[in-house]
Amino acid sequence: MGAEQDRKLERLVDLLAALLDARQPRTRAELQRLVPLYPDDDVAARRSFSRDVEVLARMGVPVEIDDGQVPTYRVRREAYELPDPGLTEEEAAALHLALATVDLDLPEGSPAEALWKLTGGAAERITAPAGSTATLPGHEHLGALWAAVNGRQRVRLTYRGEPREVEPWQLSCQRGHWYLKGFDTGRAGERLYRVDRIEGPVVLDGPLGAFQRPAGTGRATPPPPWLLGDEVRYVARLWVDAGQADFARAQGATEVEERRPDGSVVLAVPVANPEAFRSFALALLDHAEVLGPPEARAAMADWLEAAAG
Amino acid sequence: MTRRTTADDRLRRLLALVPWVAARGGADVDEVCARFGCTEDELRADLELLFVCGVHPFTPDALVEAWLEDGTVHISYADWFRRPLRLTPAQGLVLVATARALLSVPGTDPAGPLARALDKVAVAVGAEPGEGVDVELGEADRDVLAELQAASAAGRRVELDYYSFGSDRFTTRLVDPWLVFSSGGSWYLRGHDHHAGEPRRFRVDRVQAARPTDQPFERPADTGPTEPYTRRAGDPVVVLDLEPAAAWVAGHHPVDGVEELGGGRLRVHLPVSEPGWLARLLVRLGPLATVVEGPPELTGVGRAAAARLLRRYR
Repeated sequence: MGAEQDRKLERLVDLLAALLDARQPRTRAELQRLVPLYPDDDVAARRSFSRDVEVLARMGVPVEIDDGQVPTYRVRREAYELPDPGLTEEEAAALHLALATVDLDLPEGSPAEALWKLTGGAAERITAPAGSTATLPGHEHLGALWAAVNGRQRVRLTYRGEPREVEPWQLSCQRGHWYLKGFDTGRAGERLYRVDRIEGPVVLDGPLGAFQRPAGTGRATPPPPWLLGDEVRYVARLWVDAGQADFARAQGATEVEERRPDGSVVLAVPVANPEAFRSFALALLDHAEVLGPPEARAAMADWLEAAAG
Repeated sequence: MTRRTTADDRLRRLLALVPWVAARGGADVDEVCARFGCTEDELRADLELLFVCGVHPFTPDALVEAWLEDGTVHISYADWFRRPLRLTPAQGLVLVATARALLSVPGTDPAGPLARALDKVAVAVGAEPGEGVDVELGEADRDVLAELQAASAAGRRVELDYYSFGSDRFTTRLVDPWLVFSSGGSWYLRGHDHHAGEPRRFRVDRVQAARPTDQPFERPADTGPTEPYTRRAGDPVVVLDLEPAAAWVAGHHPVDGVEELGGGRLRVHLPVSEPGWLARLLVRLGPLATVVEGPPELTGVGRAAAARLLRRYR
């Protein structure tokens, strides 16, 4: 802890109180006058002040900065304060239990702090029920994307090497990956982006409520990897033996073209990403065979020939 | 706790603790410490500091009152901090995604306390959870998953009809279901396999049928790691050279070592649980991976499987 840390904490509390107390935006000079413990030296004070504002913003304090001739700062109470969700004890306990069971690790996403805010923490330690847990993948962009989905705010991002502007509709976690579903304004079409393949930063751009989310995005269809591409190249015919038929269908190849007497099936699989389809078919080893179209069969043969060395 | 508590950490705690205590007109020290994860000394230090906080001109009426007396925490005149700070977007997502994930598990009451909590939290964070986020923990037969979870919770052994991906064979096994978990978008069962005589991990979507028995089992204190693959002591290692397009293997599977070969190529030392697993990986990687060395029974499995499959296409 130490005196240095105490001074910093006291300064942060006082700065936040001054920002919340203000009826109108205040300049840095005003705030430094109102909040003790800023260094006397103006350069050092300026640096401490902007670091403090950053600390508050990172924690989620909605500091409004008006970058005019002389920048001003304020925190609106209605934007700062968490409305009381009015959870019953039973509901609070269910939330604690859920957060003890499912692990999702995000920057600035501490579940313990979230529960402090919502329920004042838990009087007794709550652990996952015997026998069941889950882990969801984390990603640095998820917080920003969620803010954009909720605020219906456009985002700018880079995907497959191309800059895009997206109206974000929904985040979904399927098959161990996060996906963003939305409308790509430049391509004028609905697209699905794998969040861990988004390149560079995600920038929230423009006003809140900038678009309407279409009705019926309620439940995302799990996107099998071979459908992740800009267009369907062909519909493959994939034979799968009886033992693996259910498994193959559960992976997302749902359309059965033919059922054979031995229990095997021929699946019709629309393919937008041939590499992903090849990988899916090969993972079934001897239990599957690509019957067509000829180009898909030829690609399998070439690949296997290379692999057989 | 190896990480030192920072001023930020203390501020986060104070901003949640102050409104909670103030709204109650005082609270028991032990309860406050338990709820907000701190020691009494830490709490005392923060309260002493809070006592001198406030707004200009820092006259008594412009200061927070905070003190600790007879085992009770008192906080008043903290009107600036009468409510907790809103959740960060990431915290909102963690809550909503977690609740949605559990509500997607078979057997969860869709109108129960968790669902009601989710609705209320969604209002408080300004979200539409039914629209904005969707989480699936894994594809699995609902009945099989429910059967395994029930057996695990009840502490009863189960008999499984299981397809082993690694050995490419169907078997029937008697298992103590220690833990059912979801990771990487799939459900797994971890438990003691009576046929193998050691702990094993099973993919739930590879379980064709699960039959409960009336035999009880003891769950060990440590049920093992909840990861898709856990290294066993005797697992052999193969050395693979990976082209840049196959570099994902190094991040996707536990590897003993990674060397940069230049141009984005990697050399990895990969522990192998079963030959069938390696064959499947190598066939999928095709020309993107080269086996550099390994035990003789493993170095050829990829080429052999590829040659066998190739006969179908030629």
